[in-house]
Amino acid sequence: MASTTAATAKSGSIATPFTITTAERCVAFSRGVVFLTSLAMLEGEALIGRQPLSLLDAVILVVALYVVGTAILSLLGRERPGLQLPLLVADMLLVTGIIYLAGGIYSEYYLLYYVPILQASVRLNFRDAIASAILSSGLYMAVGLSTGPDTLIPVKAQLRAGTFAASATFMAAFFALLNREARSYMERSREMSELADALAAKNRELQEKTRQLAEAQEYLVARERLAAIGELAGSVGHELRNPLGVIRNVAYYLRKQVGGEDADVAEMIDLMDAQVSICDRTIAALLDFARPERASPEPADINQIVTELVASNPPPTGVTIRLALGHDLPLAYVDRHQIGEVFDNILCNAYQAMPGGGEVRVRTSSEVETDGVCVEFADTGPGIPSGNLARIFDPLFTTKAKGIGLGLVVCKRLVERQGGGISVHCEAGQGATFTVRLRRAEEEANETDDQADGGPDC
Amino acid sequence: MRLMTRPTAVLIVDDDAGMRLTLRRIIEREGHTVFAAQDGSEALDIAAREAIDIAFIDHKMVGMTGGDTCTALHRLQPEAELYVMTAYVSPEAAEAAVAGGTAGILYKPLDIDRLLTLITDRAARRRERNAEKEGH
Repeated sequence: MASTTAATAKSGSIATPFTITTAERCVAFSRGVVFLTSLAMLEGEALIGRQPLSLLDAVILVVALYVVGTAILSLLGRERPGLQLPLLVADMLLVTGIIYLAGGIYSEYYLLYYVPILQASVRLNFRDAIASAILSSGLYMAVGLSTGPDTLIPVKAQLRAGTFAASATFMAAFFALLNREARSYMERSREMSELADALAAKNRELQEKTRQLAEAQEYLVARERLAAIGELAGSVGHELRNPLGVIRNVAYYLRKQVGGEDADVAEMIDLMDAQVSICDRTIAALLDFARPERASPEPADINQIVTELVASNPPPTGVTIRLALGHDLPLAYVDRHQIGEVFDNILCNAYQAMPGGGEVRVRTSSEVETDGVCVEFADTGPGIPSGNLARIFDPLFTTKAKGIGLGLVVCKRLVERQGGGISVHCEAGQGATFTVRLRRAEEEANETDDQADGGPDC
Repeated sequence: MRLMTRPTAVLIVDDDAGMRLTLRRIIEREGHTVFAAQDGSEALDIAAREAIDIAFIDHKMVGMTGGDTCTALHRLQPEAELYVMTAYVSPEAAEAAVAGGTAGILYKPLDIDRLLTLITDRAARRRERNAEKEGH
């Protein structure tokens, strides 16, 4: 019993249901052995001086099989709880039968009664144990009545039955009490280990909740800060557009007025204009981040958009660009202006990733699995360190000396708003590959609702 | 014949002095007449006394918005071609443009070449119409 308890406590997991204890196993095993031995002895006695097999042999055989069967069930713990009491009564009747066959009240087989009594004390409660002791005594006395000479039971037989009744009752009470203590001890330790498990689970749950809460708080703070930054950046960007527009007008006027006469002046004016364009691109990203425009998607030829983009964004010196445009590309369902902005951003990132020169490969293809259009931008730059890969689409994350870290955030939003996706793949020393997946135009009819809730939730 | 020689009258409405000056210089350089107003009411004053062929009106202004100005100008001079200029693509600007009977929206920073093309196209159409009138 102690070993079972220890095992239960040690296992520490969900406690197994209360089935069969070591004590019960011992009693069940003893019952089988004792009964079979008694039956064998009985059969042996019966066989002496008798040649043909009689009905008695058959009965003993059936009883032996019954004993073996019930013993196996008990040892495996497969007995139905409701059958325990009837089986005990059957055992007592069996013992009574053996005693009757083996010579009545003076037979030593009366000791077999202790088996069901012991079993009752170990497997059932105190009341049932006492009841089985009393029943055994009664049955024993009944044997005495039926086998005694005439109807009178001799004093010796009475003493024998009385002694048995007293010792059986005492034994039943003793073992039942002992067993009750043992059971309650086991139950308590099982409960305690269950409590400990529950406590540990609660503790883990609490830790998890605390972690989630901290994460949520961090997210909220970041989100609030971003919203504030976005608001500020948006209004600043808007205010900057007017003076930039004036500067661009001045550049235009100067180019017309004096640019034709002096090549150096013309170059300076072009430089001014180019710088204004850079500012304007930054402002466009800021405004997009702060107050995203609504997408107005339409069926568009991605190959054409890519070709135009590359034509208007020639690679810097030392960088070559290679286009691999897919044949029979389906039309994509995109906002031309916004997707142009996305491609422009990725392409410029690729150029900037290769200050020492390299190659950009732009590949368009139709995607079989998602039935969409796929555009890949692969550069031969140093790639992105794996630690940065996860954060590359986070706002305000940048590894460039110049830049505010909004480009890819805005790209991701723009693409997702149009039902597409953007991902980055990077192998050490192989450069980075950005993949943009877009919906094809045929889906448009079913999913027009999508564009209504286009705005990101930040 | 006298009408044909009149230069195209362009109205610029913008509360930014730099924008008004640079657009004036650029457009005048092409030989057109430029009127500049810093807000809607000043624009309406000009429109009350001058014939305007084409107008470029900033959307975001103190007082009357670009849309309101357009509506009022359209009532005064239905012949004038009206364009709203905006620094930012917004549904409001687009609605104002539609409501004011405007010919279109121009986004800032302005594409000056396009702006000048709009003016010369307008001038060409005016000359064609005048030629037809002469013919009758």
